[in-house]
Amino acid sequence: MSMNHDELIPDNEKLEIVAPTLFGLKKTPPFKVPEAYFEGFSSKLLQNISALEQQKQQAKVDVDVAPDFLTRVLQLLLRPGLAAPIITFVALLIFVASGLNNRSADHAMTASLNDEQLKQSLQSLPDADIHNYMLKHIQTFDEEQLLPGAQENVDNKNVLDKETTNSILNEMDEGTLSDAAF
Amino acid sequence: MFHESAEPERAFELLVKKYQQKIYWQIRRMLNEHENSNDVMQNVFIKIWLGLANFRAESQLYTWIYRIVANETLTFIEQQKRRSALPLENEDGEEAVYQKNISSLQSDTWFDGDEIQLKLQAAISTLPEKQRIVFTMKYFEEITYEEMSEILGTSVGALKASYFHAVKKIEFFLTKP
Repeated sequence: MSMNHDELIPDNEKLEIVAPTLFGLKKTPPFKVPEAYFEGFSSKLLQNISALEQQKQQAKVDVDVAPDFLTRVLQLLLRPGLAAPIITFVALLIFVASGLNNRSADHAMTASLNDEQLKQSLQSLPDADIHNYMLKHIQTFDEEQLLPGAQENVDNKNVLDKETTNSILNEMDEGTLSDAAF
Repeated sequence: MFHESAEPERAFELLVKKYQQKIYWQIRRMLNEHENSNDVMQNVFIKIWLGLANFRAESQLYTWIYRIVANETLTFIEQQKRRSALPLENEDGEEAVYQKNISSLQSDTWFDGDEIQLKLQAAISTLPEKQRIVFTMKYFEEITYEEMSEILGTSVGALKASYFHAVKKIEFFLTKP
């Protein structure tokens, strides 16, 4: 039932048998083109290609502009007349930046001391230094802040109670008291 | 090689003038409309211009050019097909495409054929794109199967089968009352 495929293949000499209507047709194109289309096609095409090439060149220039710009800025900055002021300015910037950096480092160190470390540091200070410091800055101390702390730190063993005080006062004669008063 | 010649534009212009009509009619037979054919031909020659620098004459120039023509035309048809809502898979779809092509060609002021030519062009447009390109190359350009095989990268047997199916379908539309 199946036929040999090659027998069905219409080479042009077999086309008359397989497709007689198609075989009998003229092969000239049944279309018109705009006037002088083929005469002007190549010049229009070359114009389009030229525009395309220009776009490609422009794109390439745009890509190359960035490195050129950086090179020019560097060349300008490294000119002898500008070099000294620029170096001075940069040195000043570094100095200011390092000063700010030190201040922030001190602040960070102070902030990192906790109460226990502070107490230990104060205990190691000589009494004479503390005394001198307090005398020097006596005006700046706030009594309301210092007194409660002082009350708490008083050694109660050395404080006389009311009864003992009265007995001592009674033993004193009035003359001694008067001399002491005046 | 080509771009290194003294006047590459002049050499390219000669090449365009030599091939433009063959290429144009090959494309126009497949697309029918002048504007579309013109756009595709422009793309073909731009690709040729850009590719000539690398053309190493390993294949014949015209084989290489026809490969570009085939690729550009197939790409255009596929793009057009994606935009179109008409189904092509079944006979009803083919009939609808055929009738649409008849109407379109009848209203086209650039169509200059008689009734049988109208039917032929409308029938060609119903073919799947690969069959369409095989049919136009074989029937109108009389390119051999071996050359077509080199151009399209398809076996001779497959090309013969495609041509056979295309011829049968076109004959059907031509003899249809």
